[in-house]
Amino acid sequence: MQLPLPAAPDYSQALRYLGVPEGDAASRALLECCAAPLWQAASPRGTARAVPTGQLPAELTAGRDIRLHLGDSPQTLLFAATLGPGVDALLRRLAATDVAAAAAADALASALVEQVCDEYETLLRQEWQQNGLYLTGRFSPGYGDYPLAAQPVLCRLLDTHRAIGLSTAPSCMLTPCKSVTALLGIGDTPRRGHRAGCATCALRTTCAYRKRGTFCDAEPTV
Amino acid sequence: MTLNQLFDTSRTTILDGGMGTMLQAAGLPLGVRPETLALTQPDLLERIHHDYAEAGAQLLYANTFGASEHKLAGTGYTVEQLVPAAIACARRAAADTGALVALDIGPLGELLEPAGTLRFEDAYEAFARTVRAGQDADVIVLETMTDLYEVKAALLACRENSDKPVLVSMTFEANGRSFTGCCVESFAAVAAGLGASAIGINCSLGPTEILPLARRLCACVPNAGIPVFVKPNRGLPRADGSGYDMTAEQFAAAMEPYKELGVSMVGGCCGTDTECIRLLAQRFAGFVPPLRKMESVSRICTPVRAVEISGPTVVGERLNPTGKKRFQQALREQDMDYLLSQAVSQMEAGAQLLDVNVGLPGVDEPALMEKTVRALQAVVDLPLVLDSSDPAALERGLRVYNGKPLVNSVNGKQEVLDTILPLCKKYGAAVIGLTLDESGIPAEAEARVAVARRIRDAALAAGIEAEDIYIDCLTLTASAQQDHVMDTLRALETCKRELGVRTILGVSNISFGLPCREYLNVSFLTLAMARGLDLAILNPNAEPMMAAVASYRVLSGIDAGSTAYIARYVNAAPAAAAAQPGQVSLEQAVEQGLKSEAAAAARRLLETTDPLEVVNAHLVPALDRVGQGFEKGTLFLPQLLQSAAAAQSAFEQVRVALAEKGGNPVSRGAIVLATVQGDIHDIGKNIVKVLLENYGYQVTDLGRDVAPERVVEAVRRTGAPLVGLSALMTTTLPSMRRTIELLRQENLPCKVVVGGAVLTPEYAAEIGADFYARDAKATADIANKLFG
Repeated sequence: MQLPLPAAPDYSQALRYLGVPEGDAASRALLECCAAPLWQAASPRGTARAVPTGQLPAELTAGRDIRLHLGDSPQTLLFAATLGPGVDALLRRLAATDVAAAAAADALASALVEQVCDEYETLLRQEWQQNGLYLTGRFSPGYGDYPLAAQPVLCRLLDTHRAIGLSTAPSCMLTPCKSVTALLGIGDTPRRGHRAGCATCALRTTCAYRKRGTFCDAEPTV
Repeated sequence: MTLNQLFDTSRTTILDGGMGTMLQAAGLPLGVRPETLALTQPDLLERIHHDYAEAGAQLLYANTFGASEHKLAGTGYTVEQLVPAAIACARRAAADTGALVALDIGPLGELLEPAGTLRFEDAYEAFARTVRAGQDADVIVLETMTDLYEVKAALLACRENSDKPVLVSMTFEANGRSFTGCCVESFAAVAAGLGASAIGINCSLGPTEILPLARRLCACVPNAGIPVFVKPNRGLPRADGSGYDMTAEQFAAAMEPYKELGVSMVGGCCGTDTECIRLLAQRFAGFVPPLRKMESVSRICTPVRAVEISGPTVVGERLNPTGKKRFQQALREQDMDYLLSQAVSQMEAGAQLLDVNVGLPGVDEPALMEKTVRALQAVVDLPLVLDSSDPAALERGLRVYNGKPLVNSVNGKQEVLDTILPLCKKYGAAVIGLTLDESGIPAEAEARVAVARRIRDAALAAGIEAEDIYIDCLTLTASAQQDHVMDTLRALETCKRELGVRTILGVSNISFGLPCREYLNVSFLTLAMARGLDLAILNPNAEPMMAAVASYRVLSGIDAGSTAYIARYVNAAPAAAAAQPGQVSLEQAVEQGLKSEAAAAARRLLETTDPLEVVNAHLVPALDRVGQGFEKGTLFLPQLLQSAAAAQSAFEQVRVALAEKGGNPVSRGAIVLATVQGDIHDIGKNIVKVLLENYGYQVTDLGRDVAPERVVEAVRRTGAPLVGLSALMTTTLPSMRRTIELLRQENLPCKVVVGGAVLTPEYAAEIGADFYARDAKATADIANKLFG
């Protein structure tokens, strides 16, 4: 389904992606210039489907972290969202003509897809709540020890190519690039899921956030 | 049912309905690939096909929708096993009704370049394989397509590997565009141009939502002999996921309005079943569709942009090496970034089409044309005019072009007509014809019209529609042939009025050899527009030329309410020079990230200083200071990049100055950069490239998703002592390892620096890299140390 664009850009998140401290006015100004073309180029779409957890194919429950995340949730919500190919096209154009704007737009687009996912997740959470059911947060392939190889399987089960124009490349990368897939646990009691944590992350030895004593992500939404 | 009957637009052909729905109703568990049923449960398929035939379906889509090699991977079956078996099921089921059988081909499930990593040629091969396995079918159907480039690969694969008729349908959202932004009009133009036998819409939406799109399709599919067809879903999906929201009766009733459009084939897609088809067949039994009301419109297009040529349309002329030293240098160096920046700047100035000419002695024009078309269409969505006198170059460009292009050009010479018109026909291109022939350029208007007539007739005979013929009556130079300037205009007017063709002129030629060329160009352009000029080839960055077009559009009423004119000029100051509030030095402009000031400062400096000294004594020290600030944390990535961009624009001035002098380009050394195979994340690599170029290195940027062999070839060709490889994903690190291994295997004496978010110094060492670079600045430092 088509998803609405967020009301306002999340400049703070984009600044973090650029590795820039919150107060830098010049960087913020650059991001603000990128917002309008980015909003115009984006056509966000999402799709989600619930499946009994026991019926998930093995590829989708590979590794320790995703199983911890789903816990005892009897159902699993398969989730996918994308900003669409127009954003990729804008980024390609900027890459050829304005490297500063390209980096800024790339960061802002990453922040935008997270915002779109957060809002879509909120919508889904409200729908499930009407039936007395609760969702965990999102857990995506690539987090912790959850292999990227889960991504093509997730896309196939959700038929994302037909539903929202999203596919995976042979490297398991999502195309269009500014897209997210995830699993959420569904159950009849409130549940948080499991934060991947630094111990199993692929970037644990080089992470700039870790060196500063913080984390790459904001607080969990639930 | 015969093929002639199937495609006869004076009757209605009933197509079948959804297979998935019927399979689910028969209890097929989720997760079983439906295509495998041809071998595991052929009776089930045969029964469903038979039920559809009994319900009235005259064409049965075999159960081969997802039977492509990529989608079948892991099922244990091959294309060659499943496809013939599936067709056989349908064939058996059709025996008693005589229904025809279609090889059903759906999307490959992967995005084509540039959005994805699937190459056009590989998509073609995958489709060709399915086509070859489907020999036993009567027709081929390409359906549920969302990507026009994929449609092209598939259609070419069909046409070049079989002689069966091909039906093509795309799937759209309610706004009339597919997920990849393709509009209905571009689809119609390309599908018809590439020889589709029927063109339609299926899936995603119900009959009510598709109706307005079908109306548009009926208007824009050229050639009354091509049927338009629809296969809507059974309404829209219910919010609770329990199916679709229409009953069979409602579905059939909602198809009634299609009767007045001229659609001559109807069926159903997701959610529909035999009941829907039975009711549909009853409603349309014996119905004679009216003729489609086709608009007679000239279009050139890309998937997202269908440019309708009605009134003067601007073709940007700047992608052409004639008389442009800097452009020639860029072509020789295959500097795609330079070409792209020229294209984008013309687009931003308001060009509607872009002429592309890469013909230069000493370059491999066919290869360069192909490379240029690919690069341009990844970044700019303006339709292209492929400009070459080499049929091989035209063919390479035509094959990879995504959309319907315009070919520049043929002329009255028989050999040219015989070689190039068939290419235009094969690839669905429109064509420009120059009114010259074996005896040269006729002076008199009447003689030029005569050549035009011959070209038009040859084009029509080759199967090209009149709407796709653009006659260029040739702009002569006023200084040399003043007496015949008006002949061009008279010929133009006559061609427009009497030959039923469109017209085009390259106006700048008029002023060659005279001062203040723009005055003459503007006047000649205006006279030509008044006589009916459709396409004007000009420099869109020359505002007086664009102003002439904008003004004409107001005066002729094309720009209703002068809206476009006002939008373009309401805030524009008259062309008085703005006061210069004190000029910044080159160093200041770079340090403050001021792009145009940096270019201006560089130009000033180049008047008195040697280019190499400008680079080494001014640019590089400024960049060093900025780099140090970045390392210390007094400025951040955006400022580093803005400074780099400012330095880039200054560097461009240095390049221009050197090209004018004919001197060698500045080079501190050659470096090859690439994002490795399988990966298309390149923002980091692009930042590195800009930084390295600013430091004076000659960077060969191979782009994204680069095979190891291409890296080796580039290193061999350039002799680069340093190679930079980037990868963003853990899954593409093996490609990085393979690339380094191949370089060592080939005994190339180069060092390798690697970078990317998932890389660590340990892994870099493990795969045999010489250096690990934490970020772009570190890469530049490594290069500076290496090159000394």
